Amino acid sequence: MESDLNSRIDRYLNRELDPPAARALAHEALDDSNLFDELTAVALVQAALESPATTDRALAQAALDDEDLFETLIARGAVESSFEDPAFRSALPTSERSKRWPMVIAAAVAIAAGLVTFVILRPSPQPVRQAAPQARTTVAKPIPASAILLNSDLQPEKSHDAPIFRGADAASRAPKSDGTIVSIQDGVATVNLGSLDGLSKGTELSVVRDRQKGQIVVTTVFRDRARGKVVAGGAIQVGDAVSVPSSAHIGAILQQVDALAAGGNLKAARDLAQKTLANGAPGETRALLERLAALDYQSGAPEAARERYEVAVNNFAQPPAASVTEQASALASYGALSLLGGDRDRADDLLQKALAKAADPGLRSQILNNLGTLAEARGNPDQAAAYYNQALTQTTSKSDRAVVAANLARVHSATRP
Amino acid sequence: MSETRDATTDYRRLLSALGSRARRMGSRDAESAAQEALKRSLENSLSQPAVEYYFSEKLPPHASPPVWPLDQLMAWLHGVLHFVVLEEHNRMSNRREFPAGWTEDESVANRLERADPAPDQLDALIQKELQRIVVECMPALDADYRRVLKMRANGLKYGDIALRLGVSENTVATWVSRGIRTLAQCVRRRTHPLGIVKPDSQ
Repeated sequence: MESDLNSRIDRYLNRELDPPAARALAHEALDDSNLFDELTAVALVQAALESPATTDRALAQAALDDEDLFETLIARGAVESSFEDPAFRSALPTSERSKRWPMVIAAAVAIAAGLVTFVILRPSPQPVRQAAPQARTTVAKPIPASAILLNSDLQPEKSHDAPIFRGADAASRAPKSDGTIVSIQDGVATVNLGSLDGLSKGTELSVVRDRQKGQIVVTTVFRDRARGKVVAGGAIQVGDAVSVPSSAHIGAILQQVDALAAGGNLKAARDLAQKTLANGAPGETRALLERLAALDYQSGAPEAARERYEVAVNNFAQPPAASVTEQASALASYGALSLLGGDRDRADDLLQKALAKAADPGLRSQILNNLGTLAEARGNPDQAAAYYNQALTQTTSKSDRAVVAANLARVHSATRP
Repeated sequence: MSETRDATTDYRRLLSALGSRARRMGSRDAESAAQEALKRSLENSLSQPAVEYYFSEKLPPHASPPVWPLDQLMAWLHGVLHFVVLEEHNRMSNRREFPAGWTEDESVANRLERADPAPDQLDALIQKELQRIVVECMPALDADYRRVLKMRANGLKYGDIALRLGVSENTVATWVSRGIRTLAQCVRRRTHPLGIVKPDSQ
C-alpha cells in the first residue's frame, strides 16, 4: 500500500498522473495531513526548480536586496561552489591560513553574483523610468571596475521599512502642515491632524486667534485626528487654525517620501520632497535634502545627488545645527558620490572628515572600505589593503563584511606575483 | 453569503487542511485565513478550475480537466495561504495605528481590508520562497541528485541527461524523484517547526 502511494507520488512529481488519478490523490491528501504536506512540499520544489527566479543570476540580483538571502547564499551555496571552481582554488593564498576565510567569502560573493560586477552602491533595482546606469559607467573609470563601495544612506528604502499606514495607496493622503480645532471639551481640544501629519504624544501645536497665541500639547494621537490639552490661550474656539511644528511636518513628509520610494514611485517621492524643500528653512529641511539626494542617485542622477549633498554639508550650521552623527553620515555619502564621479581629492577630504566624526562602527567600516577603494584607484594597493583590513575589524554587518572581503581579495590577487 | 456557505460546504476538507497549515504558519485565526486563501483561489481565473476539479467534494459529470496540474495548484495554495497569513501579521503589527479616529462611514472591516499598494506582492513572495528553497536546500543534496536536478531545471530531457551522465534513463528518473523528495523533506523541515518568516524579520 505504502509503495503504491510512493509510486503515485513519484508519478505526481513527474506529472504522469492523469487528472482523475490526480483528483483521487488530492482527496486522499485531504484526509491525511502528512500526505497534504508532502504533496505541497514536492510541488514547491518542482516550482522552485522551474522558476526563473532561481537561476543563478536571479538569485544574485535578489540577494542584493535581501541581506538574509545574501548571507545564506554565501554560507550554504556559493562557498561550496567556490571550492569547486579551479580559478578560485588557484587564487587562494598558499600560506596565511587566517586570510583564507575572507578570501572564501570574497570569491563566493563573486561567484554568487555570476561574476558580474556588482556594486552595492548602485542605482535602484526598483522600476525607474529614467536612465539608471549612469553611476555604473562612471564607476568604471576612476576606480577598479569590480570595486564595491558601501553606503547605507544611498540605498533604496526597503518596502517593509515604510509604514503601511502611511503607504502611497489611495487611502492615504499627503501630510498637512495646518489644520483646525474640531471640538473642545473640558480643556481638551480635538484637531483634524494626526499621526499622518507627524503628530506624536507631546507635540506642541500653536493656535492663532485674533493675533493672540494659544498652545495645545498633544496627548492622544490617531491616524488623522489628535486630542490635546489646551495649555495657553483660554479663548481658543472650535474652528481655530492650528499649525504643525516644522520639524514634525518634515518628519511626516520624510516618511511619506520613504513610503513612495519603497513602492517604486521614485518620481512622486522626489516631487514631494522637492515641493517641501521649497517651503522650508535650510536647517530644517537638511534631512529632506539628503533624502532627495539619495532618490536622485537611485534615479540615475548621481551628479544631482552630489550637488544636493554639497548644499546639505554647507548648511550644517543652519539651525537646528547638524549633529556630529548626521555630519559624519552626510560627509560619507558626499565622499562616496565624489569618488564615483572621479573627484579623488575631494572624496579623500570628505571621507577623512567623515571618518574623524563617525562613531558608529558600521559607518566607520563603510568609510574605511571606500577609502580603501580610493587608495586602489590611486594605485596604492598596500594602503588599500590596510584600509580594508581596518574596515573588516569594525564592520558589524555580515553582508558589509563580505563586500569588504571581496575588495581585499581583489587587492591581494592583483598584487600576488 | 450563500456562495460563501456553499464554498464552505463544498470545500470543507480543503478548508480544514489549509487551516491546519495556517495554524502552523503562525496564524491566530487559522480558519479565517484558510477561508480567505480559498476565496482568493476561487476568484482567480487560473486557479479556480483547478481547485474545483481537484478539491470539490462532488465533481460535476463531464467536468473537463483543468490546465493546471495538481502540483501547480498545491504550490499556489501554499503561496496564497502564506500571503494571507503574512497580511494577518502585518495587520496585527500595525493595528495600534487603527484604534480610533476614523470617520463614521469607515467601518472596522474596511480599515482592516486596506490593501497593500504593491500589486505583485504575492508573486514576489512566491519567488522569494522558491529562491530560499533552492538556496537553503540544494546544497544538502547528494552531488548526483543535484547535478541531475540542475540539468532538469535547465530544460534537459531525461534522455539527454542520461546520455551526458552515461547512465540509463531509469536511473535519471530515480535520481530526479529521490532528489525532489529529499528537497521536499528539507522544505517541510523549513516550514514546520518554526512557521513562516515572521513579518518583523522580513
